[in-house]
Amino acid sequence: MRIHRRVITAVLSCAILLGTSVRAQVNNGESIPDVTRTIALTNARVVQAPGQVQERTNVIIRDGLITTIAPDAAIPFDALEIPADSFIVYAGFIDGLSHTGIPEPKEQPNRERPDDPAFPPPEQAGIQPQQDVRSLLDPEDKRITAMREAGFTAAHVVPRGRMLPGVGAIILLAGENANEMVYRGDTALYAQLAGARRMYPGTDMAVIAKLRQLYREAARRQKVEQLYAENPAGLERPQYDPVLYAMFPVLDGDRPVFFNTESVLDLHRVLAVQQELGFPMVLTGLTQSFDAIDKLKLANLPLLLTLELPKEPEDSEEEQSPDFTEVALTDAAVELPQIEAPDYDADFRVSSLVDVAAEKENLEARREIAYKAHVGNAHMLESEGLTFGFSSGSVKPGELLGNVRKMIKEGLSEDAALAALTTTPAQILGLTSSMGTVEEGKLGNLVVTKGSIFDEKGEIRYVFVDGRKYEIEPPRKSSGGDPDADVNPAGTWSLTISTPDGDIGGTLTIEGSADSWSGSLTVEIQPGAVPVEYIVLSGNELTFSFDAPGVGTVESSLILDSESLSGSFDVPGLGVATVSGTRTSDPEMSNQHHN
Amino acid sequence: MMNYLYSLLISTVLLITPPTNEAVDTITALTNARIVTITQGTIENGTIVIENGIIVQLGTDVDVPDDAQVIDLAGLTVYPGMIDSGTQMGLVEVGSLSETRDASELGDLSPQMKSLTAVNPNGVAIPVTRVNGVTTVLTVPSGGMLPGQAALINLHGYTPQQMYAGFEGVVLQFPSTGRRGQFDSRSEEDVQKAATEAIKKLNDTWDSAELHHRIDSTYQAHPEDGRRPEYVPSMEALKGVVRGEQSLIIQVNTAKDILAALDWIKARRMNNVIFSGLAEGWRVADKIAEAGVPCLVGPVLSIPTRASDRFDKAYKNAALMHEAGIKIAIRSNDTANARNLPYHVGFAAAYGLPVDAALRAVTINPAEIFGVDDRLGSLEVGKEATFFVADGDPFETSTTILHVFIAGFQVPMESRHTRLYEEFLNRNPGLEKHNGQ
Repeated sequence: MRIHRRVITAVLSCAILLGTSVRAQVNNGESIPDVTRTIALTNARVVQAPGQVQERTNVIIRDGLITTIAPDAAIPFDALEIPADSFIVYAGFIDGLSHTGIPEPKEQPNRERPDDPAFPPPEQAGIQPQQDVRSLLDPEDKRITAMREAGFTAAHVVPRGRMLPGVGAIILLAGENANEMVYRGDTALYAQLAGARRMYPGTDMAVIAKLRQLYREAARRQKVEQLYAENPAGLERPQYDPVLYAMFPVLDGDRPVFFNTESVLDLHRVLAVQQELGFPMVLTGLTQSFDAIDKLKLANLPLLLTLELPKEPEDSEEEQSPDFTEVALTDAAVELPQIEAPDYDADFRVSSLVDVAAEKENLEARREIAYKAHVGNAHMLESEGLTFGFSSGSVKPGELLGNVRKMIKEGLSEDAALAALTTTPAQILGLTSSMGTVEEGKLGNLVVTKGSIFDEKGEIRYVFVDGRKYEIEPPRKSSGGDPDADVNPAGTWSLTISTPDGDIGGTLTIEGSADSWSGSLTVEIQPGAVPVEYIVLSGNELTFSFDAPGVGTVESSLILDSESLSGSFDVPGLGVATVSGTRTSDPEMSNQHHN
Repeated sequence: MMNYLYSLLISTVLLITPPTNEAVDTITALTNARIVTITQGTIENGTIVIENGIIVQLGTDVDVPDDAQVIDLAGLTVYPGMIDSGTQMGLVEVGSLSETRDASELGDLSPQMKSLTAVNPNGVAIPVTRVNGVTTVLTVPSGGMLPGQAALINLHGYTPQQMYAGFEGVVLQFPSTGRRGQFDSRSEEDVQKAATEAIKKLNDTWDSAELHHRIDSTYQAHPEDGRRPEYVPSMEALKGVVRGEQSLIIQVNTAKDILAALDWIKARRMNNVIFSGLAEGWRVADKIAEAGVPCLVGPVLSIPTRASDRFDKAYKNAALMHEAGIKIAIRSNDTANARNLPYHVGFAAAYGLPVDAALRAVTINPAEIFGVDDRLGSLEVGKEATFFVADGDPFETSTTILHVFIAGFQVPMESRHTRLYEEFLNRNPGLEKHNGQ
C-alpha cells in the first residue's frame, strides 16, 4: 500500500504549486493574558451552517460558548469588541482524523528484531489497541498552532503506529496542557493496513489475517470472561490480556474502527473484512475512492476523505515547442477520447527514436488524467450522493485550504466543502450538539476570514478556540517578482498607498547603485522624510523597511518595471497596504543630480 | 555572615546612637549654617528648626525654642538630601550571589511586582550610601519588558513601609530595535524581526491593558449591572498608568529607540511618562524637549556609546540635554556604588552642566518628577527634614559629610566602610596581644 502510493507520487511527481502561503507563527495570545472572556464580533456576515447565511449580525462569545447571534445583540460591557463588518464568520473546522498534537518520534522505536519474527510481542508488531492517545498528547507540538492557523479548531487525533496504533480522542486545538486540550476520549480504534517491519504481520494479507484472528480470539475471550464472572468455581482463570480486552468495546459495537485506506485495493480489502466481522466502521483516507463509488454506496458507511492531493503535474516546455505539433499531427494513435482530460493512449507504441516526444506527451497526458481524478475525487463523491468529512492526515497544515480550493475548482460545491470541514465530521464524531455550526450554546469555535474562505484571496484573520482569540497575521504577500529581471530602482517615484482610511500619497527616492542603495520616503500625512533601510533589489523586486512614526517598522516589498511599481507595505498592527506608483525621475537624471 | 552583619548593623543603630534616634520627638535647631535651599537661594548664617521630622523654621531671623537641642554648624553648609533616580538599593546585596539578588522576575509581563515589597531595609549599601549625602533613591526592578514597579525610598527605616518616600512607577524596558552590542552576531534580518515582534508585543499588551481599564471602569461605575471582570494581576497593575494616575518609567538608551518611544507615547496619548537611561539622549535632545518628557539621565561616569563619539560624550550628555530644555534628574544606575552619585553630578557639572542645574538634578527636579516636591527636594518650611551637612562642595571628593538627617532622624555616620576603616586602622593592639602571649 505504501509502495502503491509511492508509485502514484512518482507518476505525478512534478512541481509543487502551493495554494496557500506559509504563515508566520504568531505568539501573541500565549503570553499576554486575556483580560476578558467575552468577545463581540459585530456586523459580521455569519455562515451559520453550509448554505445558511446571516448578514450584518453580532456574535457574542462568553466563557467559551457562543451565547448570542442576533443582528441587534447588545454588546456586553466587558466585551472585547471586534468590528467584523468586512469579515465572514464560519464555524471552526473539525479535522476528522490526524496525528495533530502527537509529535513524530525522533527515532523509530522497536528497531530490535524479536526472537521469533513469526510471533513477535504485540507492541513490536504494531498491535496496541489498548494505547490511549490522551497519554501521548503534547501541547507544544507545532502542528497544533499550524492547524489552528489553517482554521481548524478541533481534531480527532489517533496515535501513530502500524496496524492497530490505539484509541483516539477529540481535542481542541488550544490549551496550555494536554488535559485542557482533551474534549472527549475513547472515541475510536484506529486501524490501517500497515504491516510490521520484518516480522509478522508484515504484509497486507497478514494484517488482515491477524485482525481476523484478534477479533475471533477476543470474542472467545469475552465469552470465557462472562462465564468466569458468572461462576468461577471449577474454571481455569482467564489471563489478563490488554490487547484482547481493548477489542471488547469494538465487539460490543460501542467503539467504531476508523480504518484508513489509500489505494482502491485497500478499500476493497477493508470493506471485505468489515463485512465479514461486522464491526462498526468509519472509512478514512479514501485516496482512490473514485474507483469504488458503487461499492461505497452499497456499504453506506461514514466517510472521511483525506485532504492529501498528489503534486500537480507541471506543464512541460516541450508542449509549447513546435516539434510537438508536428509529432502530434503525424501520430494517429493519440485519439482516445476523455472528458476535459488530455488524450492518453494506454497502449501507445512508438516506432522509432524520432517519436520520443510523442511518448513523453503520452506520459504527461496520463499524469494529467490521474491528477484530475484525485483532485476531482471529492466532487465525484458529492455528485454520487455520498456524504463525507475531511481529514488532514499528514498533509502540511499550510496546504490544507489550498487543496480544498483545488477540489472546488474541480467541481466540488462550496457548501459540500464547508460541510466536510464542519458539520459532517461533527456528525461522524458525535459532536453535533457542541460543534460544527455557528449556533447559540455551542462552543466558541470560529474562523473569521476576510473574503470567502474558499476564494484564492480569502485570508483567515482570527481563529477562536473554546472562546479564546487567536489573531492570525495576514501572510506576507508573495510578490511574484522576476529574479532575472534587470531594472534600476534609482530615481524618484510617486506613490499611492491604499489604506482602509483612504489613499495616501508619498514620494520614494532611491539613490546609489547595486549593493549600496540608499533612499528616503516622504508620506504626505507626515512632515519630513524618513530614511529607508535594508534596501535589497533582487531581480525586479525591491524590498526595504522604514520606521513609521507611531507604528513601528514597516516592511515593504515592491515590484518594479522601468516606469511603474506595485507592491505592499506591511504595517505592524494595521495590516498590509497596497502600494502603486510611477516614476517621476529616471536613474540617469538622479545619477546626474547625484554627481 | 549576613546574620552577623545584620545584628551588627541593628546594634549599631539601636545602641550606639540613642540620643539622635529620638530626634523625631524632640526639637532640633541647626544654627550658624550656610543653607543651600535650592528653591529659595542660599542663606548665610541661617538656622533651621526641626520638629516632628518637619522643618518648622528656616532663615536668619529664627526664634530657637528653649528646649531645642542645638547643633552649631558654623562654617558648614546644609544641602537637601540627594535623590538618586536609579538604583537597585535594597534589592541587590551582592551582585554575584544569586541568593541576594531580588531585583529581577522572569518573563516579560510582571508589572504587578512591586520592588518596595522586596526592599531589604538592612542592606549593607544603605548606610554606605546615605553617609555620602544620598538620602533618597529610586529602586528599580530589572528583567523583561514590564519587570515591575520602581519605588522611591528614604535610606532610613526598619521596614520597607517606613522607608517609602511616596512614589511608585511602572517600569517599561522599551524594546530595543538595534543590536544589543558589538558581540550581538544576529543577522540583520533577525534583529529586525525580533524588534518588530517586541514592538508588536508591547502594543498588544497595551491594547489589553486599555481594554481591561475600560471594562473595569464600566463595572466600577455600575457593579450591579454586570459580573465582576476577570482578575488579571498584570493588567490590574497597568490600570493606574493607562488612566494617567501613575507614572510610566520608560528605560530607553539609543537614539533610535528614544525616537520610537517618543512616537509610541504620542500614539498612545500618554503624558505621565518619565524616560530613564538615555545614553544617547543628547543626539535627540530637541525631540525629547519638544515632547516635554522628563529624563532620569545616567550613569554619567561612563564611556561613549559609539566608537566614533568623543571620549566625553557620556559626561556631557546631561549638560547637552539640560541645554535643550529637558528637565533632567541624574541617576547612578548603581547599587553598591550609588554613594558615588555626587561625583556623577560633579562630572556632569565639570563638563558643562551649570552647578545650580547640577544641584537641582539630584534634589528638586527628581522630587518634582516623582511628585514628592511637597516633602522633598529643597529646604523649605513645611518640608521633611531630609538634608545633609558638608564642609564644602558635596560634588568634590575631598569634601566630608558631617551630618545626615532623614525625615528628622539624625542618622549615624557609620557604615560598613567606616567599620572596616576603624577595624583595620587599629590592628596593632590585636597583634601586640598575640605577640605578648
